[in-house]
Amino acid sequence: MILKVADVEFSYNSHPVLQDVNFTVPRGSVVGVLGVNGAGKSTLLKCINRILKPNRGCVLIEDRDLSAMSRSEIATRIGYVPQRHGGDQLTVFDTVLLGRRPYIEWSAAKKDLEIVSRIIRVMRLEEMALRPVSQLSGGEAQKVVLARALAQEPDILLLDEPTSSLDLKNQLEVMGLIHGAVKNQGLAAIVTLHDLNLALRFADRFLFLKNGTIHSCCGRDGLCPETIRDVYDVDVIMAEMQGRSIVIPA
Amino acid sequence: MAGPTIIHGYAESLRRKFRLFVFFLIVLAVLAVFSVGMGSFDMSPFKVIAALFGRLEGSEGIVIWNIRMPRIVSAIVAGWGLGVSGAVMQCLLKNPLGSPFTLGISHGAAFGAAFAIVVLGAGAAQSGALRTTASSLLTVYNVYAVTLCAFAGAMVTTAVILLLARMKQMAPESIILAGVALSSLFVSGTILIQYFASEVELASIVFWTFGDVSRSNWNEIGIMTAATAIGTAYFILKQWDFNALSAGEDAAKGLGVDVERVRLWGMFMAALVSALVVAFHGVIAFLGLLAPHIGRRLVGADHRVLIVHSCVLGALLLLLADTLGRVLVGSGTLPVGVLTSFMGAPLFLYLLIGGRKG
Repeated sequence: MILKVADVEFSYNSHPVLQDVNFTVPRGSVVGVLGVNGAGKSTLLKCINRILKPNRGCVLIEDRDLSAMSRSEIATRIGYVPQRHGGDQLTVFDTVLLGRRPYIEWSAAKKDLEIVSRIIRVMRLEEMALRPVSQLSGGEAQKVVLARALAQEPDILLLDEPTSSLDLKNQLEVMGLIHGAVKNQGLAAIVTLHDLNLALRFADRFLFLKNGTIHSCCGRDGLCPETIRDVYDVDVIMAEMQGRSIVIPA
Repeated sequence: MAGPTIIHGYAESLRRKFRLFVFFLIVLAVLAVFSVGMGSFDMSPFKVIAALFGRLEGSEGIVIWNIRMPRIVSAIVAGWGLGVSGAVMQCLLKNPLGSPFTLGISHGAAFGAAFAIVVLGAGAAQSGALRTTASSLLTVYNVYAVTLCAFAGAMVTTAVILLLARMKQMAPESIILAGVALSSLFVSGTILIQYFASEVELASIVFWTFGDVSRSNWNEIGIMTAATAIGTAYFILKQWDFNALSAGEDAAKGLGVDVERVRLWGMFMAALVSALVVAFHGVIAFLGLLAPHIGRRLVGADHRVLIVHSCVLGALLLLLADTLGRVLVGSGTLPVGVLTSFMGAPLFLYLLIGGRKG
């Protein structure tokens, strides 16, 4: 297992947000974190990355406790894309180059520039490499911050609602890029999502959060309408269409 | 664009920005030479250059080294310091209005100076601007007491803001608001002191608040230059962290930046540099705001180039304003703070009208 989250608890001003969170993530898998607004999905990602320090419990990467690592070292193991991102006055190249910050002492080396250039090409951003991110569409900007996280050469990607403001085409493209990076490079990704069908299409496992605790953790086979009703308080029908499972509100 | 082409295009765009920096440095040097030669005792640029190489003696050499050069070097160092402080504050506070002036540092210094002049009876700072009928009345009892109190006022403001930010985990926007509140407090305090001041003391306070680069001697310029050089070096070392911070706090933490530490030390260093400038020269409004905004327009928001451009543009603007102040007013000199204040108002309007996209 590349990542182990053990007994993690976190409170905001004595109000418990996460309680007794335990799960593991193997390499090469995409974990979809699902749940209603306020269930603790974003807080979970921040606790894994130690942007927030858990009140209890630990997070281990290949059996190394993250609390014993410096912030720069964590940044070489975990690439994080927050829900809201700024810095859009920088160019695409400069933004992706920021992903090399944990490795750069003073000035970007040739290797750093080559890594950034390769990722920009893979993400098909080369035509806009020298343009400010503010001039790009929402989908393109989301690809840029994903590219920045990949430039960190991490083992794990933490992505907080990477598709929340995107149209259908860009949702599929961005999730496809995440899925491709995980499978091709042997990474692991933990992605918070609201769209169950997007999760069904791209995630290998589903982690349902309810009131700060894990309601259930299952693979595609274990996903059932009862779980969704319990978590979202909405009745759904699950169906097969052209070989894919889909969720339809009843 | 293929891989090497992307890198080549990127490297070329960086080189272009650094070439622009070198161009501004050359313009600054040329302006400095002409500025040294300008004044009631006109000298050709050749004489100025000869003096710089120690080949000019007599009264012209004395005028250059004892009167003109301290003023010119002062303007360059002060502008450099205010420009870089403004750029760093705007980044750390995530606010285009971040500057020593908007954070209340300048007003804290003005309160300190007023306190020294009236309560401690320290008199007024000497100034090239004091060539009015009031100048004969203004007495310098203790310039250092005024400067020290002004510096203390500026640093107290900084300490209060940093303590509030640290203890209450204040957001950058709240820090700006705290600066506005402190500014208001110090302005009220200064008005109160002015109310109880004698006419001479009142005139002294008013003259102190007109920012003026002719007050410093070589020792003071040395202190200011050392602080500005150390500050600039520190900011250049932290340029990647500043870029990461512009992507947001959580993103910066995810990129390995110790955000609280960078913000605390960055704000401290920026405040220290600007506090020294204000303590030695009085209030020079808007320069810390103006230079980074022009820099951002010219070279973008990448702090690897923005920091040095803010420095050189700050120096260039202040030297230009001071030179204009000396040329425009025939019978004396117009304090440089008056001219920079005039530049500030159009900038605010420019921002309001829609120039913020840069």
